[in-house]
Amino acid sequence: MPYITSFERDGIQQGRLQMSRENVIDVLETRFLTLPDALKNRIFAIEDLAMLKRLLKRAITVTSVQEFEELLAQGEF
Amino acid sequence: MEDEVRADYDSAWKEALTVYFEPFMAFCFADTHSDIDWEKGYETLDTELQEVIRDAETGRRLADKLVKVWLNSGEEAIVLIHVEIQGQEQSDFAERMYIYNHRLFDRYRQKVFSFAVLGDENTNWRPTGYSYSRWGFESSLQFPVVKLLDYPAATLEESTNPFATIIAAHLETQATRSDLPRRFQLKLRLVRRLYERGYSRNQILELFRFIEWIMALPAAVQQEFKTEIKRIEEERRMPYITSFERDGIQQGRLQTSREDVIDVLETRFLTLPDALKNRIFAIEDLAMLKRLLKRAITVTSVQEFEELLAQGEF
Repeated sequence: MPYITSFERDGIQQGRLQMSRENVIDVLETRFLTLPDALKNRIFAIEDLAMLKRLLKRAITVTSVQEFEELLAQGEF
Repeated sequence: MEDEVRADYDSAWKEALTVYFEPFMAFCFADTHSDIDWEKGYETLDTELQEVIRDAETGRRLADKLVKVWLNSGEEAIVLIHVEIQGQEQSDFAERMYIYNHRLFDRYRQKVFSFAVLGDENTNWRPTGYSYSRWGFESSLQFPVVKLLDYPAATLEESTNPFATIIAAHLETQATRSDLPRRFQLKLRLVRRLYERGYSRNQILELFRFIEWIMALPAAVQQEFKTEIKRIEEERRMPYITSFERDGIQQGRLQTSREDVIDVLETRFLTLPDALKNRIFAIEDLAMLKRLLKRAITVTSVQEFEELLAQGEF
């Protein structure tokens, strides 16, 4: 069936956002074990998919949680 | 925007004729419908029709439908449905039907029966045939016609034929081109009727898709429409349409999980073999993708990742 209803479209967007946030947090936790709650909440509040994609890539390359927090605070994304 | 809406309209009709071909014939051409042996099934010949249309060079005819059916008598017949949706090609409509009919006859060397569905708003436009003659020669084509405007709203409302809902959606969309608040109300009414009809869950979902497709609303009004649908479904304890949203969430989560695994590997190792990407895109298991993402950060090479995947380590 080719047509996607607005219900599905909105659902897809929601699902993409949820997963993108979870993945950024998962990557950081896999690398640095624990994350401050404030950082998690900050990530969960992001509504911009493209920004979350960029964050994911930085999450792999930063050398510490602090570096990641600083990038985020400076609005680097 | 106008073009986009129109194109969508055409594809909605085409799809509706595919999904509901039998109900369509029953509703619009009942006599023909009763001559056809539906037990034998039918065969849609879309590709063949596209070839003929391309050759005929008379503009695009997206919504037309070519179908092979079997009659009660055992004979085969080829049925060609011409759908004129917005009246943009009225002038040569009958001539085009004549051309397609002959081209298809030539191609199949079999009787081809053409039908016309007029979905335009001009009550006076009612082509019934095409012919020319001179010197005692005559060539002519006559075809059965339905004019959608002729269906009274009450008939469409009372019918349990799913195609009646498609036609109602079509007419109501046309009638509300400059009155979107009314379209919102009519759309809601049409959807409400689906629950009252006693349709199955799948029938409701299928018809709802067409209603959404045909009766487009501006984003803000659509949001309001969604809220209303949610309320109705809660009230009736029939969480059908709202399940579309859940399906969408699941789809979105899957898509993103796959992309993220690939993004992480590409960020770390620059390029990935296409085979590996395809393999990741084929994974339907979210928990597995979660595990893969974590391994994608820790593996030391693409090869190591591929080996883990091949060993079914996840």
